[in-house]
Amino acid sequence: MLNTYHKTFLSSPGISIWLGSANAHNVPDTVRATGLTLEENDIICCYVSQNDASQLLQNISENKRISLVASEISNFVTYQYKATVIATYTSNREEEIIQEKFMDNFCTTLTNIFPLPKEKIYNMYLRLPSVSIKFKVEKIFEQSPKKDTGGEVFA
Amino acid sequence: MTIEKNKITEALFPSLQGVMPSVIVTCSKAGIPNASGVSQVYYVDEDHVAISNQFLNKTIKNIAENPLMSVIITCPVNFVMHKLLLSFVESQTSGKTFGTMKLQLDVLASMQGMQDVFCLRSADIYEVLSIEKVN
Repeated sequence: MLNTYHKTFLSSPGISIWLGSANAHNVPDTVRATGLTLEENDIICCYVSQNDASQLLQNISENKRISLVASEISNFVTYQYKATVIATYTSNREEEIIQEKFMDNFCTTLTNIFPLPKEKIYNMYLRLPSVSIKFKVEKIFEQSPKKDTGGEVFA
Repeated sequence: MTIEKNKITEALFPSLQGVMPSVIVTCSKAGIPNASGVSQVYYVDEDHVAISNQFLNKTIKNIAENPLMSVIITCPVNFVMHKLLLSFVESQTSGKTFGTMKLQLDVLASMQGMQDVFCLRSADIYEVLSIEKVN
């Protein structure tokens, strides 16, 4: 599922990542994520500020289905990863360092494209502590802006 | 300026200019969330926004089953994010809102060199149910 192409894509410095969830009544919710770690067997660990995560965690307790959308901000290449949550927990210091590096890379890429204040964006987006959301990817969909986009990607 | 619970005020206008792309999430009847990027969330009036439908196949299917949508908009000046919970009202393929959105989308596409890709299928009108400041 997560082949070399997708592992490389998800490790690129300029990707913007968001999580979608829904509660037991199918009310959807969106949160910005502040980094991710790729693990074996199609498992991704994604990080979200604790301040933003209350609805996400409530939704996950009711419905384990989750969606990660990742978009490369320099060229708009976008994929959606549909998954099932395996675990949630408070991020440890090692995972906070991963997020600091991820968001520093992201903000550098962003401010190389747009004349924006890097430090201000970094401080607005990265707010620790965070929670770790670990999930197993089951389907991948291409969502880059082009005609006939949206199809499932088969590795 | 303050933001009323369910009303869009001038404070949110910079976040609705299409400078920062937004992410929308819908959910199917079976409880499977679907996330997608959109070029612009457009201000219609204090109770409604329009979403530019360019590539939203799965989103449209979900909305037919479940009219709710969650979207985060970002202010390009101070990077404050707001989360909106929306409920679908109707799709428009002509009229003032559609015409203005198409014009703005054409400008965005031109700036991004994507004139051949960005085609507005419809301006989808949503009622704003709630607004929450994120950061």
